Amino acid sequence: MNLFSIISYLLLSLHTVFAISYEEALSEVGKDGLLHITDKNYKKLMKNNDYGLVVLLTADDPRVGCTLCVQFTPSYKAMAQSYYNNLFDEESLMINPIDSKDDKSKIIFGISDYLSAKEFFGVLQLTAVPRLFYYAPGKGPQLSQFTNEFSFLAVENTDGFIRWISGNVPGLDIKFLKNVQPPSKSILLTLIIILLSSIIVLYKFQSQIFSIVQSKKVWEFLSIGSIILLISGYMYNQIRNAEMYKVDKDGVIHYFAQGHNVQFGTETQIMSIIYTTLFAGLFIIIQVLPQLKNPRNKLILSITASTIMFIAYSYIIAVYKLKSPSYPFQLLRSLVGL
Amino acid sequence: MAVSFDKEGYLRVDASVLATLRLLVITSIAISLSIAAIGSRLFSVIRFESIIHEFDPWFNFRATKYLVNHTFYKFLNWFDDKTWYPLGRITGGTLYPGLMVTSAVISNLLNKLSLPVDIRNITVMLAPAFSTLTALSTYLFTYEVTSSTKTFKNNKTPALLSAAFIAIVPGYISRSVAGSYDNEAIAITLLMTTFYFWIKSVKLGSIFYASITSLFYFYMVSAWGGYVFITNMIPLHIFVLILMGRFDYKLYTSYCTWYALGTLMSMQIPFVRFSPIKSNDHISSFGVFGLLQLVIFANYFKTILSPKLFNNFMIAFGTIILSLGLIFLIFATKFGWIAPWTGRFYSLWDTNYAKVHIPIIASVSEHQPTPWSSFYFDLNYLIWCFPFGVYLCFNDLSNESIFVIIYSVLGSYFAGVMIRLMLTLAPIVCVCGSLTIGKLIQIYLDIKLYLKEKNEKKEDYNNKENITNLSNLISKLLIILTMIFYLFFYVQHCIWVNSNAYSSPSVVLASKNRDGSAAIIDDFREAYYWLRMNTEEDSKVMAWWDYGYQIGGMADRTTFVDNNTWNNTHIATVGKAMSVNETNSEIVMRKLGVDYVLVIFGGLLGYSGDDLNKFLWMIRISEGIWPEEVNERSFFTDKGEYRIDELATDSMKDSLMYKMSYYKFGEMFQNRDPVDRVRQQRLSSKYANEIHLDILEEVFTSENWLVRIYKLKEEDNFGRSLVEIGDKERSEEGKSKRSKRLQTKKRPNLDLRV
Repeated sequence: MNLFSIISYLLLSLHTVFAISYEEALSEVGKDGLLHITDKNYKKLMKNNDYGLVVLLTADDPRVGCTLCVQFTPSYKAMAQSYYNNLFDEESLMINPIDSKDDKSKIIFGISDYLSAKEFFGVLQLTAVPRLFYYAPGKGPQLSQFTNEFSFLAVENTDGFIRWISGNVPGLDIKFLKNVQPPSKSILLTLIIILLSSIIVLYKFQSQIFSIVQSKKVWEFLSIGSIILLISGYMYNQIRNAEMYKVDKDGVIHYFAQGHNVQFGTETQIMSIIYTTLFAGLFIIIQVLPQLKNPRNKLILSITASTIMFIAYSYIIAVYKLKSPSYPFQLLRSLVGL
Repeated sequence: MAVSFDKEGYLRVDASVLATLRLLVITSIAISLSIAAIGSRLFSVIRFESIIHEFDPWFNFRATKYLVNHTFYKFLNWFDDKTWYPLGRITGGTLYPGLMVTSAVISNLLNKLSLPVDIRNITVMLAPAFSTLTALSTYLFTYEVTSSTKTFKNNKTPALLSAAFIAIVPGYISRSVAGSYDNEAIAITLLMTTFYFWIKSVKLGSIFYASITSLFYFYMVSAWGGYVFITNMIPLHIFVLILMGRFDYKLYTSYCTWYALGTLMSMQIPFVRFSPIKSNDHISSFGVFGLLQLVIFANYFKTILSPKLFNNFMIAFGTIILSLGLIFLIFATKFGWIAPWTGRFYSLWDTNYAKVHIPIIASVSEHQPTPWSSFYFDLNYLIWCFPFGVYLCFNDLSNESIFVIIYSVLGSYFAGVMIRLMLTLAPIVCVCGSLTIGKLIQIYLDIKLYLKEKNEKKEDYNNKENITNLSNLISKLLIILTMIFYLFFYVQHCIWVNSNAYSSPSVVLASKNRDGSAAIIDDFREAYYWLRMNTEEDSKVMAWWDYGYQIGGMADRTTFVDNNTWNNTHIATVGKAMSVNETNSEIVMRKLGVDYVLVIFGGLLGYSGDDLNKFLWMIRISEGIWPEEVNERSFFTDKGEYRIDELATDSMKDSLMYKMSYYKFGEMFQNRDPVDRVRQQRLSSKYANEIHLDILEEVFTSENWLVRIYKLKEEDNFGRSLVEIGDKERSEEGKSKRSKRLQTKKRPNLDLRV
């Protein structure tokens, strides 16, 4: 046995000495069911001995501006929470890995935020967040050589990560991760407080609120406004999380999506403005013009209103033609230069 | 004398002549509108032939044929063992029979009149015929709304305009072209008729009209699942009217009559059964029914109690009712007395629900949200007249115009969430648009006003007046000419859309040859006909669920899944058979009892709606049930691309769907590299020739390769697995290097059954 193998043997034994067991790790887990990994403790915590380790690397702080992180982290937290609750809830019928010998389903969920773990992120050589890693038992110290990674890119529905986890941890039933928690007492309490306070506000400013609620103008504005928004494709953006616009390879910004069945967020804004303009035009023609006495004003206003409406309508058609080029009609040719 | 010249030389016309003339004009308008409505829906019949379109209509057609050939009771008890094999479907109890009964009644009636018309022609022409009725009911609806307003009293212009708009509006035509034999074809007619009788009964407080409303409501329930829209619109209307302090006994009479009769009648439909009292979709109508009783109760106390006492009484009463109601609601839901909120309901309100929880709903393109371009496409310039029509309704608030406002807001919300609900929005857009245009015509094109002015102006004539008149004329002319131009453009647009976008039967495809002449691609019917003539009558054909109804209707063979998506697991099973490798797929298919497998492949022709493009949904749906065996991620390359060439992932290359699509694809291109024209990817010819199938045998491929049919091979007599045999054969072929010749020789043996 040469010197090198002795040293490596020593190192190996050192490693096993310092690695932490499932019970130890559980004691580090907070009430939210998560192991919070920071720069200070990652050297200690990333040494899983007999349990699988799932780590979410994220950056929730608005200063970082990672939308996917902000969207994803709550569902990850909820999942960890439900696992943790099931772990100590005897009625959940989940076999507690501490009691059972089936150590396959031993798992700890970790989370690490960029602002409190910059060094750790550097060690992992991360260039993008969020990342979700799985380390098989004993593989934690390898850090950047994680066992498996959940791909955020190719999946439309990020809820698939629960399936991904249960796929990595044999013996872990998917239902223990999915359990929807009943609303906690604090939520109920805040609901009651909100309800009560709103009743008080309602009572105090009774007359003002009533005059607003009973005003025809308010309802008129609300319904027509919502109709204009809805016919401009507002719900599409809400449901599809459409991009606002697209920048192509040459750096040119495209505000209009190609294709009849797709749109960008900006299109809704532009279209709602156009529709409002047309609405105003109709308003002038129908409500204002017949009231006018001066014939010259009447002529000027009618010409302006008709021209503006014509241009606005031509614009709609031009944009539509831009989106689906097979459309044969257009009113004003010059508007196509969009 | 009806017409005469009086002493001053004026033409005197009797009132009765004028009335006749008016009737004549209106009748001729109605007739020309009907011609326009039917005519613009006939593009597909003229271009192709009288044929049922798309997918669902094929099922309706099949059901109608069953109804015509059997009795009505047999139809209601129909257990269809040819679909959802091996489960079968209690068809009579799980469909809305209104459509089939309508065409069966028409068919019988014509037979009684000794006019035997083939049931296919009746079903093909049903939708255009009903569209004329829709124009009529929209006319009546608009007239009912406008006749009570100050501005449009006795003015039929908006009503006629709305009928003209709805007759050719693309948003409605999309579901009612000849051949599109679907529930929506008659449902929109019924929707507008129900609403017409409803506002009429609210206006008059008449039990008679309320009963007619519920009668049409019943017809609507029997015809389309979208009846829930009426079930919620009417209570909402009443609720808003009560909140606005417009409660009167007319409301009470009409609502209670409608609710009691309508609910009882709707429960006669086997598919609806007890859902009017159990499901939360209907709870608002029940709640408003209860509320009306409370309101009338309170009204009574108002007459006998002093104001102060009444006030206190109301507060106590309100609190008790509110808390009782809440407690009941919570408990009833908790104990399961009332059905949980259904998925479709969720996807309307919580727009993320379907995307996350039900891939099967998300996979249906009809459930997709609507971009603004669709609104423009389907409604043209009515879309920007629409908000102003709502504004006009606000100007002249009556019970009817409040109904229009509520309908507009709700309709635009629903149409924005789900593209197919554009259908329910289209009528109200036509009504509101007609209000706007009607108002314009009233202001700028009123001949009576013009004549009157001219008479008055005759006396004092001077230069200044002349200029005023001229400028007035110019401004009027400008506005009215642009408006007429827009109307003209509307007709142009509608005709173009109807002829280009909505008139394709999608069973037969139209394309153009290189020289520009029209070519018709008839692969679907070719394949279905082949199935019908060349396979055993009880053979089971596995295909993705889109084609279930067509196989049932055209090929008359048993299918595993079809467009009626009630059993997610069964659909996922078929999806799994398509997306796993041959060995595993064979296990699934043997268990299911598959005889033939049918795939749609557009790679040669460039038909983008083929199975490989729907493949992701098969994977997603089956992943929901078997996450261990099917994994969506593994069908994407490392870069996240959906590839089908050599760089495709192994899961993709091994999947049955992939193999079925590209099997022998290379031979079509001889020694050149085959190109998939849908996905724009090039396979090398060597690789393409290596794609092999062991468990299936190709029995039919249609002219343009659009439909490919495979037969599941018999199990090996010696119990060897088919894949093993195939591997062995291939290695031997490789050794003897005769593979090329053998491949071309191996043609399936077909014998034609006569």
